[in-house]
Amino acid sequence: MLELDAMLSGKRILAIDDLVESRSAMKKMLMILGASNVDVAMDGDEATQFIMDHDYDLVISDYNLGKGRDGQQILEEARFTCRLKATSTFVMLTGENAMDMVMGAIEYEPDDYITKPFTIDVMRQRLTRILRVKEDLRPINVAIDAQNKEQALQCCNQLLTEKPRLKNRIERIKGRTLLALKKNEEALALYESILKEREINWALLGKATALFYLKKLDASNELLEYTVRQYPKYVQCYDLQSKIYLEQKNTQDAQSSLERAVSVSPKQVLRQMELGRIAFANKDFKVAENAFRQSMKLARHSCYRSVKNYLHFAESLQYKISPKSTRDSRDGSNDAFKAIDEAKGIYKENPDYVFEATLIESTTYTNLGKETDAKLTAEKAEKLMAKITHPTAAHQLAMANVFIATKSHAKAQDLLAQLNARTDLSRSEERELNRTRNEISEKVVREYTTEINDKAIAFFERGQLSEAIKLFDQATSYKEAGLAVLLNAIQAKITYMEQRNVDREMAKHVNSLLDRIGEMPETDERYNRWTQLKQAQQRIMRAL
Amino acid sequence: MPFDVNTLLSSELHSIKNRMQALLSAQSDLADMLKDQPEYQAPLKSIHRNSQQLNQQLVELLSILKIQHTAFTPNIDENWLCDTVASVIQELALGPDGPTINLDFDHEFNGYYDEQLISIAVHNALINAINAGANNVSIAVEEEDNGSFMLLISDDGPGFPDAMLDNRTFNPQGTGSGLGLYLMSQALEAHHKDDLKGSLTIRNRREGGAVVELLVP
Repeated sequence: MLELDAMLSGKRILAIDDLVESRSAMKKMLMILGASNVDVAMDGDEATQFIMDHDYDLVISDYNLGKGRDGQQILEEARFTCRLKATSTFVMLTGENAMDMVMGAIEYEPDDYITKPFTIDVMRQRLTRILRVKEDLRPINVAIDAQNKEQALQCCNQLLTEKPRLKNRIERIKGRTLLALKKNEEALALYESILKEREINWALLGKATALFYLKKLDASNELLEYTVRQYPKYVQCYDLQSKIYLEQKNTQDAQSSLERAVSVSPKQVLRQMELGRIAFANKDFKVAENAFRQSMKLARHSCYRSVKNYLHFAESLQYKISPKSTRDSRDGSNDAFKAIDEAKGIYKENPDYVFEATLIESTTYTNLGKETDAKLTAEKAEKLMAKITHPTAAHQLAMANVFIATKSHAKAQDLLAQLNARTDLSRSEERELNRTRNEISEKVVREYTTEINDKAIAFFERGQLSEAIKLFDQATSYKEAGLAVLLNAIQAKITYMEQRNVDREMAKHVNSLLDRIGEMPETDERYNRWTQLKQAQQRIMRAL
Repeated sequence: MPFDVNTLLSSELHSIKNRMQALLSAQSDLADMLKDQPEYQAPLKSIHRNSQQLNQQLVELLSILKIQHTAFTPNIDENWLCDTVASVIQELALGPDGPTINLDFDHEFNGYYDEQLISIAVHNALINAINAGANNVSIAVEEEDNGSFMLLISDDGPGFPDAMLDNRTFNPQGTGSGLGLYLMSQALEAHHKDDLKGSLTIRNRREGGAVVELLVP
């Protein structure tokens, strides 16, 4: 049997507690018990830093770390980033009335718990047992660290016969592994056999998860309802419920499930982000705002920090921003600009993100009624987009919408034409594209084409035919281009072909422009000009 | 959040208990330092007896609060019995003239139970044995095929008085062992599995001494 001092010596250990006396007492205890390499951290931020910088064999953390993130979140991040290997041990310290303690996701459970307060003898007793069990499970965890799930499964089966006392521990990992391998039928059978012996909360959730993957959504949901009635703190159930509702396209219930989860366990970043996304799509901006505000705050010093938190938050605030000088509007725009600036600062090396932030900045100005600022910012965004090598359809759509909001309809039209030519649009992007198209005012575009038309005529009159044709091409690319523009374009091209050389492509283009005009009534004052141009074109076609 | 007296009281009691734990540990250090000085033994003994009694009453109060709490559901999880029992014995801070406690079960034995509740039950059983003046206490386990287990705590004291054995139910009557047994039975009955319910049985051994049987389903 392995003795504790042998198991602790040479191990790198991290002890986390927010109270200074507890920290030093814990370190002292560990040293007396045989540890030689112990670091201490006082909160989530410090702990995460330590875990990112060093490889720990054992982490012992208090669950409740005061204001910031709690022990469960440290654990989740450490395992999520694979900075804490499966072979490393995580022990959670909990207060005796752990009424507010929340269970984490099945894949992020601590190896064990120790209840506070504890004497050194209790610590010796528990740690010895915990580390021995961990040692027994080592082959499985080695396979997991090597990302060899099949191997892990084999180890589970082998250990189940060798270590019957650890049946539950092993089956817990086995169920997880089966689900990860998408062996859902087998996972379901395993969880059912466990539940036949005893109702255990993780087996209930495991069974519901297997049912979900097997598309038995109603059965899964029913089981989850039962499970949360029995174990109200088991928030993972709400997460899965929300996924079921999403699958059923019931976004309202998906949102309420997550709201229930958040009311029990508000500190989980990914859950807050998901709630924000769903609530935003449901146009429940109040809930979205709060969820994104929380996720931004919680993620600031964690591995989950992402530009999306800042940008979504700024977007979710728009509903309360208006040109009226109300308190809501002031607070909203202040918060939005703050989030935008923070995002720009953190992600300044990333042109995509700065671009996205700048778009939201422009929108904020628009909603505030500050048209000049909105337009200036939109132009900044335009320049930033030019720097992005391959702008995505989402980028272009967002930019087009900002162009529309800042009354740059022609620019928007240009972008939409580019978008229309793309073949990689998702279905929702197609819908968004159509919606955006309808927002463009035809009148404004016509004014713009007339503007180009005037410039082109100037070139034409100076005999700079190529320049004139280029501009006319631009003007006629808008479906709103008027009859006069079309006729001018035709005339420029025909003149070019008559004076210089006949070009098959150009001739074809003239035909298509003539097609766009269609038939013209004799009463039209441009009738004569139109027939002359048509005849000239016929001559050219014959010459081809 | 609604104002919850129970939660408030319970967190107060926990901090008192932590302080009590520190006192007991200091007192045990002191007893060690003074163990060769006979003139200190009598007051030390008195301090020890009283502080243990205080600690016991605190545990009882906490148990009452926990079990009677309206929103109470036992927190059933996998536990190693050895860990649970060792912590209880630790907390008792037995003096040099306390009884010897033998753990006559597989140290790798683990089962599903609410550790705090089973701690309360074991704690009360041990206190009963100590108060009865037992010299040896044995803790054994009998495992059943259906996953439940029986915890047997037997001692070599005078055994339970007949009047107590005749009582089929445990009622909190005044102070003393009546309350202890009542709390134990409550702690056990909070454990359910399918149709099975935890229970407490007391009896006397033919060769003398008391046996407390804790059935954990």
